[in-house]
Amino acid sequence: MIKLSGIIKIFNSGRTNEFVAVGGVTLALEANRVTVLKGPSGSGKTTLLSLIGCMARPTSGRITLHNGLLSGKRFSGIGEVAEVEVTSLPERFLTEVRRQTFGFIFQQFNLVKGVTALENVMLPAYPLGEKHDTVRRRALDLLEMFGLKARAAARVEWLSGGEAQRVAIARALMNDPPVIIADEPTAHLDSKLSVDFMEIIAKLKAQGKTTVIASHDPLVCGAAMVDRVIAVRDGRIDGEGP
Amino acid sequence: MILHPAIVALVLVSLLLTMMSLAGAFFGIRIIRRWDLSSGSEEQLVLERQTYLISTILSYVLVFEIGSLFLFIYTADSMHTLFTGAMCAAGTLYVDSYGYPALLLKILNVILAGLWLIFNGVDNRAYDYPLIRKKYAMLLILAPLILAETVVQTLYFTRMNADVITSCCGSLFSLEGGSLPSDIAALPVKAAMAGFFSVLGLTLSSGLVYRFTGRLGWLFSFSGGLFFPVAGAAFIAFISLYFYELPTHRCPFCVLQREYGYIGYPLYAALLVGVICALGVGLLIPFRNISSLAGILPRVQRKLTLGCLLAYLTFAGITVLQMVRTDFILLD
Repeated sequence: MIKLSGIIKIFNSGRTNEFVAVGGVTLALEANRVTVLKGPSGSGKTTLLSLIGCMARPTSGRITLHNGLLSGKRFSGIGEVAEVEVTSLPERFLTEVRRQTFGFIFQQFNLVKGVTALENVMLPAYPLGEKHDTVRRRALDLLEMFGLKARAAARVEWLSGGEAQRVAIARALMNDPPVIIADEPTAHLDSKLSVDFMEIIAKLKAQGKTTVIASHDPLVCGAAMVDRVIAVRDGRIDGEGP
Repeated sequence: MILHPAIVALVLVSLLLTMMSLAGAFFGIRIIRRWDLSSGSEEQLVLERQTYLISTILSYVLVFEIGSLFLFIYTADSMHTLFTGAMCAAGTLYVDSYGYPALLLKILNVILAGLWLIFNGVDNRAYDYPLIRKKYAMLLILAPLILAETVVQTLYFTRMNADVITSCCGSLFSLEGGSLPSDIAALPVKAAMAGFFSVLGLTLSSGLVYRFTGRLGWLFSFSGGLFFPVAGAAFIAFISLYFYELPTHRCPFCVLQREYGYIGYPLYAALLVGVICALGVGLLIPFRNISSLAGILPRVQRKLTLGCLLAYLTFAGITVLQMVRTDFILLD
């Protein structure tokens, strides 16, 4: 479970251009569920995702990762713990928690141009210091899982939109994270590719992954495998649906 | 005041150290009063972000503090030619009444700064800030001492007067001076030797026991701390005689000069490293039961023990080598 308690995120605090992106969110996201944060542009979905994924720190409030998400995970300096409160962690510890717990899929995919699909998928594993052969084998397995093994040596700028997205998903799964964070993953996809993406999410759910998606795409919010849709508006929770 | 470049550098460094340590202490008061890790308040989160920055800045500042001691001694030594009667740093420090207090304050602050760096290093390696209040409480002790050092050092430099006839080390560390250095110089050689080698032996043996079994930590820390003044006194009482090969020359500063291969610098650096490491081991013992430090402290304490043993062995090695190598015979 990911528990958010009284999360507030204010940009440019105390200045004339102060902006409250998240205005006091208390939320519990269950493990092994697909949760969608739904809301209009500027509602605070992406900020909330970045806070959940430990990419930003809140202005106030706490975020705790509970057991279920952390089983089998061992963080150097922290050890094997049942739960960890991430907002107070110094950056050197937070980096490892983020690296081992979350896989990120970005709206623009953020693949590194100029290198191959295989190298892009391998990237998140480099800081872990595993053997290159092991990393390479795992990356190829992931590409095979997404039907991209034949495109492993292709540079990412040569890939189609659907292929690039699947490479981005493979990269997110490289370190076998228990939580997938996806920010508007279907924004640049046509309907068929969007449906394909949600099918992949269904498979990941079946494997025990927890997924949090920020989206206002009806294809995502209405997908069968989505367990929970949380409406976000003006930085606050504005209701909930199935 | 004599506008020597090193004096200007020392005064500026001291002012910088004072400002940074006072700012750190001011922040420390907020930490001590307001720190609450269970709270998710905006103030708490701001404190969590700031403490990392403040402690990093202070780490660098206190490394400067340690370096400034050696610059201070070097400056005092190199300026002895300006004062009638001075033969080394001993005379330069005696040109006014603030020289020796400034030196003693600097030594004290270097030891405390070293201990703070150890404490800070351990605290930063744990994920839940287990020593944060104690770390800043320690800074509240250190910061006024650094301020006092800056004031006394500045008074020392500003009161310096080249017209003053000062005393040479020969008279300051003579047997008949009636002062503390003279009393130390007048210690019976055999007793001083016995004390020196006994405390050294106790430190090395308890250190080895602690390094390999984790027992006798308090004894090691105590004897390692005690060795620092004992070695200082032993240097004046008999070690110096072997370096100078003169039966009456007991100055602790002349060994910093070129004629003696600047051997005083590694000797005193070894002593400082040794005492900081030994006291650091004792300082950390009460915190062994904190769960987030359980995997960190034993490793750090073993390293500190090794550091202390190597440092004191370096001091003892240089000393004994000189005693063996020289033609000077103190005891039959």
